Amino acid sequence: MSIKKMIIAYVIAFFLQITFNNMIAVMGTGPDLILILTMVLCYMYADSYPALICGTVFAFIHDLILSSHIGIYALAVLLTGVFVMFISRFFNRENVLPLTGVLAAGTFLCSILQWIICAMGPANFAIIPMLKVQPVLIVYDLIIGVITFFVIMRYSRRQKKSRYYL
Amino acid sequence: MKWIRTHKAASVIIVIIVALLFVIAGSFAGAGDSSPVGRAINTGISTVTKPLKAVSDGIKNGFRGIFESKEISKENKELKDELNELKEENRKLKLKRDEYDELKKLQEIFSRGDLKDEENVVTCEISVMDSSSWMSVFTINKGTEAGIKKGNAVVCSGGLIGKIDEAGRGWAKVRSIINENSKVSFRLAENRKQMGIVTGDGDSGLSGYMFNVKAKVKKGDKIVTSGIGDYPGGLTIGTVSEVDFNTNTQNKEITVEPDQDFFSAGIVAVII
Repeated sequence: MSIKKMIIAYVIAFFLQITFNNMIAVMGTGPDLILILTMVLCYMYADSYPALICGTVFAFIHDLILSSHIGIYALAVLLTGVFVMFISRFFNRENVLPLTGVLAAGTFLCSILQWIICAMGPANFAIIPMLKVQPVLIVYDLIIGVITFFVIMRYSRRQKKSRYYL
Repeated sequence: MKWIRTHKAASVIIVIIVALLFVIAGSFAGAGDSSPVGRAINTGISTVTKPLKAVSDGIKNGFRGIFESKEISKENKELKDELNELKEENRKLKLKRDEYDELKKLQEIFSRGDLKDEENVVTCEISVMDSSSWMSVFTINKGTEAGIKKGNAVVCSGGLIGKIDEAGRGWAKVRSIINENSKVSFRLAENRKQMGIVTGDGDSGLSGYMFNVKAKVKKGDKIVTSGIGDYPGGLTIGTVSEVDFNTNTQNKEITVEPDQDFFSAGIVAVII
């Protein structure tokens, strides 16, 4: 995926997250589109540093407009992306099954990281309510993550029609 | 140096992590205030999200129409009866019906509150809100140009919703009362002498304690702001859903259900 297309994907995910997310919220939580896109791209591409940096930048902008303390969400997304990038080396990147596990673990990790960073400062939030909504958040992220995976996969496989494809 | 040259991408990631740690530390130290760059980004984003908000509201209303058709036809019948009465007012106000209802409720809130003469009210719309964020922070579409500044109380049709955390031109960040770092001094609506403090429990609710251990408080009691601190007195906070005596802290603890739905609020008012 070219960097230009990746940025467009992040811009769409970002604006969807800040405008439409509340419409589909269950138990007060909706899908985390920036995180999903970062995890899927880090999983699918071996050289996923641009996706990681792009995700961090958009998460930082999200922090600027929707957080009382900036940088927390950005750092959590970055570290989750690094985790996904590392763990995806052990799986077949074209197989969706390992991705489901990675998405679930990544979603949980991102929430826990935010809680840990907040707990170190004055912006702490309670862990129990956060854990309570995790199943909903994980299911949401799984569904949208898998859809995103197939959309990107379809785009990637289109290259097979190319006359240069061996 | 050799390691950096051979691991350029990893080095960039490490630099970003360290930079973010400094930003977070600075943010914690500066009580969450953004830099001029952050303010500029906020102004830009709030301009871009205005048309998107209109689209999302349109879709939201469309879905509402599909799933709540029975309710809507009943509501329409009631509205037809009230139409003649409201026609004149609606013409004057030129507002949408839901906006009118919300503003009407807001007016009731203010009539119950202890607003001082010098305090003005600015009505605005929520422009950016993300339910996946843990911070319970949202952005409204008016800011310093309307006289909004840090610390101003924000109310919606159900009562107190939060306070201004930061404001810029065309936007203001609101920290809701369900945020765990928000503390609100309250008194019982029925007994003004009984006071206490509530804070967000991180689960769309509030929890707190009474100053007087012997205070007579029961399930179903309404609580309002006491007027001490940032918030004007008399604004509805919520309804007591649980009362418990904590033997460890020797406090009479209460759990409060906010009267307002934080995720469906569209119009809010800022007391400046």
